[in-house]
Amino acid sequence: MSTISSPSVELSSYRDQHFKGTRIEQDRLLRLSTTLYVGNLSFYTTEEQIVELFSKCGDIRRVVMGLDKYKKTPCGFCFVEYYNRADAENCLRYINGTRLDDRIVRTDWDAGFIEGRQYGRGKTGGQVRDEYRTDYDSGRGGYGKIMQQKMGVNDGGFSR
Amino acid sequence: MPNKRSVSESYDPVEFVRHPLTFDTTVDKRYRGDHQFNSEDEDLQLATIDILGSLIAQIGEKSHNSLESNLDDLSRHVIDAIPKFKNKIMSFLAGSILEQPHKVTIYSTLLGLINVKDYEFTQAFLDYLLSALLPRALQSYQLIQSEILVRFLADLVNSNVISTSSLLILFEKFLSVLEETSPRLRKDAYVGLVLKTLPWCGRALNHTRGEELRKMLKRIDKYLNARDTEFCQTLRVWRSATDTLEQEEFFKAYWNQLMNFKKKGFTEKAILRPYLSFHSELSPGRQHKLPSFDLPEYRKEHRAKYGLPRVQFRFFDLHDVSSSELSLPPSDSIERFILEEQVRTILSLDYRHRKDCVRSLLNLSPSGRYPVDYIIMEVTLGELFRLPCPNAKFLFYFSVLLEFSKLPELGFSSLIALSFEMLYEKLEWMEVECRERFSLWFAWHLSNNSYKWHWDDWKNCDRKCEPAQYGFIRSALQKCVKLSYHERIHGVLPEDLHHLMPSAPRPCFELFSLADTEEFASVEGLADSQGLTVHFIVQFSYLLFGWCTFCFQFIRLLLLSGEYLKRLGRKSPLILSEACFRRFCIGTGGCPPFFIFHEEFQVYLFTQCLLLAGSKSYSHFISALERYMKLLNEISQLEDCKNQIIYALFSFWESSAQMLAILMDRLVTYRVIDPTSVINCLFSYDFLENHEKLGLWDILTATLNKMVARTDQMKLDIELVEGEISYLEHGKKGEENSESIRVELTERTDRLNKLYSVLGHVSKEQKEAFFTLFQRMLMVLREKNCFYQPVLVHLKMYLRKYQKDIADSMEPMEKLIFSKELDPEIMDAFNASKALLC
Repeated sequence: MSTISSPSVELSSYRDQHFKGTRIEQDRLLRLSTTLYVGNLSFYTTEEQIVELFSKCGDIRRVVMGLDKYKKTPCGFCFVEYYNRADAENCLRYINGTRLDDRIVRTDWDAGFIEGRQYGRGKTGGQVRDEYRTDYDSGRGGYGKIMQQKMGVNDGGFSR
Repeated sequence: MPNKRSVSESYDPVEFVRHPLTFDTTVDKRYRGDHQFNSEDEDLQLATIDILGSLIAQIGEKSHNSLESNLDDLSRHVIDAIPKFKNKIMSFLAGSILEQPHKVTIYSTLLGLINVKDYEFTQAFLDYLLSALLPRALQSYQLIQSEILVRFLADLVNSNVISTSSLLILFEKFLSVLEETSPRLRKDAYVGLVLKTLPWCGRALNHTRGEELRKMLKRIDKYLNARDTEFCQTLRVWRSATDTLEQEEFFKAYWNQLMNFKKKGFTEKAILRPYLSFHSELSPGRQHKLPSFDLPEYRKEHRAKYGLPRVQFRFFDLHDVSSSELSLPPSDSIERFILEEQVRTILSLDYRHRKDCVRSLLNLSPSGRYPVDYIIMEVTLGELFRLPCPNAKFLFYFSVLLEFSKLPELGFSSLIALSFEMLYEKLEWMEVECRERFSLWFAWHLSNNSYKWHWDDWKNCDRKCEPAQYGFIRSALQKCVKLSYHERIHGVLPEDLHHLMPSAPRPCFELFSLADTEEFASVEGLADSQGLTVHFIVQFSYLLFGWCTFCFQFIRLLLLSGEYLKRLGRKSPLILSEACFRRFCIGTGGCPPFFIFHEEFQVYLFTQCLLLAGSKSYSHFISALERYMKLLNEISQLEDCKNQIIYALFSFWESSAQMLAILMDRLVTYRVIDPTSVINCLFSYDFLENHEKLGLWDILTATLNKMVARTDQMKLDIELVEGEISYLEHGKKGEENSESIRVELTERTDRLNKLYSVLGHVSKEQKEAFFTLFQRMLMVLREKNCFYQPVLVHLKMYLRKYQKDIADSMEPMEKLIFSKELDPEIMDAFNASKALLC
């Protein structure tokens, strides 16, 4: 229903800035991809939970957890790769915007996992968004990293 | 725009086969030739036509002006644009009709208004519908799309576009299948096409062609009466036939509604009919004759594609509706059918976004007259619980209902809560497979609502008095834990319900005495900190396996135990857990120390080590698995040993049905274990005893699903390559590169042959697995012990669920397994399943 539809299975406007290759190549890969980026996860969400939820849309080939570059602990995102494109599309239709561990998860096409991409790209090791946040988010280590430094507090610990 | 792809792609077998649900409204090559314009105007022109496209799509939605004046304006804009954008407009119209079937009367009025001014365009559009879209839909078994198109065509008699006689000719064409010797499924599909349009066109037909209409109905009645509806019992969601829950076969129930409709002179109150206010504008229009076309021929191998029969699903009673002004139309009225059918059609379309589906449902007309929210809920539940399986993934229905509950003005969340309560009350009569779907929905919905629920109402649930409810809470809690974690759910529940929670997951490694290590929490840490040791153990088991002499194995094992325990800081010798010890001692005929030389024990030990190494997370397990893939594949060749992999897995993760399911899924996916072995292992009494706790049926169903999906995928691949071959053979004839085409053709043919040989192998394996499955189930059933009920329930479920996959082996099965002396209940289930595909 293209004239009145929200483009949930179409490509979004986000493009990975670290992609090695042309924009056309990137878009081509995104259109064929069976891999999704999954964001806004809690640091405490386990792979088993992710497998449980995402396999409701189809068989999963693999899950790659996003890790803090230095601490090697989950930092709130992951990649989910399906066997079939149609299943990944279903995931965008039915899971994107619903909750996991009480957080609204966001899913988007990814051009395919490459070793190294599982690490956070923020200065302090986590995701960039967690550097600048000013709110307190108990699922993602408390305040943003810069706020924490200003306030002189430790990050929110790592136990459930 | 429905027409995003360029015309040159109009036949793309890849697209076509991969997305059988999406409908291609691309205008064919012969309809090409839109007006060419200068590049300066082009952008402006295209922008205009795009706006017109969205106007066409949005007509009938909320607006400041009346529908009549909007229709009037729109028809004038369209007529102005036709000379330049004829094909685009046809494509917009067709796309809008197919995507928004609830607006079918609005579009037929629009076409009526266009017809008065532009006869040629209307003729071209009808040609396009009947020579391209409808045959394409019928050919590819897109029944919903075919129904929408025929409903639109039928409604055109009301807006003075086609004559009633011409519509009757079309119906006659569909009904010609009644004279064929084809199976019931095909005849039902075509009879349905005709019958389901009657609420829209019945009155007009009765008015002008009453005699012919009555003759036609008589003929259909004769067919319906002669039909065998034995399959009904296996498709029912409710097992008890109380008044509201009674579920008649669809055509039987619908026929009653139609007869009531006929009694009332074919008048109804549920369809918005905008053409009535345009009577004087429409009457000067000239009526068209529908172009003729051929029905696709019957192909035996495609019979399952006509869609399985269904039974009516009813859930709400007149008293359940809380609103004081609105009431549900009676269940035998045509209005109930019209509303239900519209919701059902909308739910059957392939949406890019669940919000589009919600928007379409909210636009259902006439919304002010009936409690549409109850109808939406009822039909959605009916589709979700539909047996043997719903049209879409469960998650589609879940997410649509969730989306509704997010709209505060509707009060849909209280309707969902009401449905939860009502379903809970009725669990006792509910088919077990549907209880399972209900618990999935319940858990998922709660996970999206912070697990808020009035749990206290359930705390007095008693196992003996309410076994169905008790089982449901357990299964729902297990699913909640899977989506969340143990402590979370534990914290939400009142204390009285804690005993219904699954146990906290705790891996159980049998290589040393657990008494030594107290809690396994410490062992989990061990897998991490002592990664090297664990790796060593796994490596060691690898060496143990097969290549070494007995002596060497023994020395290595001793060395290892010393090394391993030294690292653990303990001096006691290696101890196996008692259960493990006992299992293998018996195997060696009472000579305890020698079991370590047995391959079976080595495989068991090796798998346990592998699981320990991978116990930290899913990814850890996958990497451990991939690392030892070669060895595992060798093990899986050994008949006696491969079952040890399953035993080791079950004893390691006995406490967590979730881990068992996830890891078994991987082992089957990587083909370390074949489905037949899974079946053989799971039907041993050790496992059956704990079938609830271990989630045995989930594992079995997932394994069978995987096997069947693999075969289906192969068949799709074959269809795809065949499509490509016929495209190369016919589509490109007379073109220059005949040499390259020949090369491509040989390549495709080779691929096709390979695929066929793989398919042969896979189907053989699948056949074997189903034979084993039913044999094992009947073995348990013959003993008539405490497992009788759960096994019987699942036997019925598998017979129903996989009927299309076992259809070809029904005859040998009947001869070899399902012999006459079995319980009548079992034979009924078998016969009903056989009748489904007739």
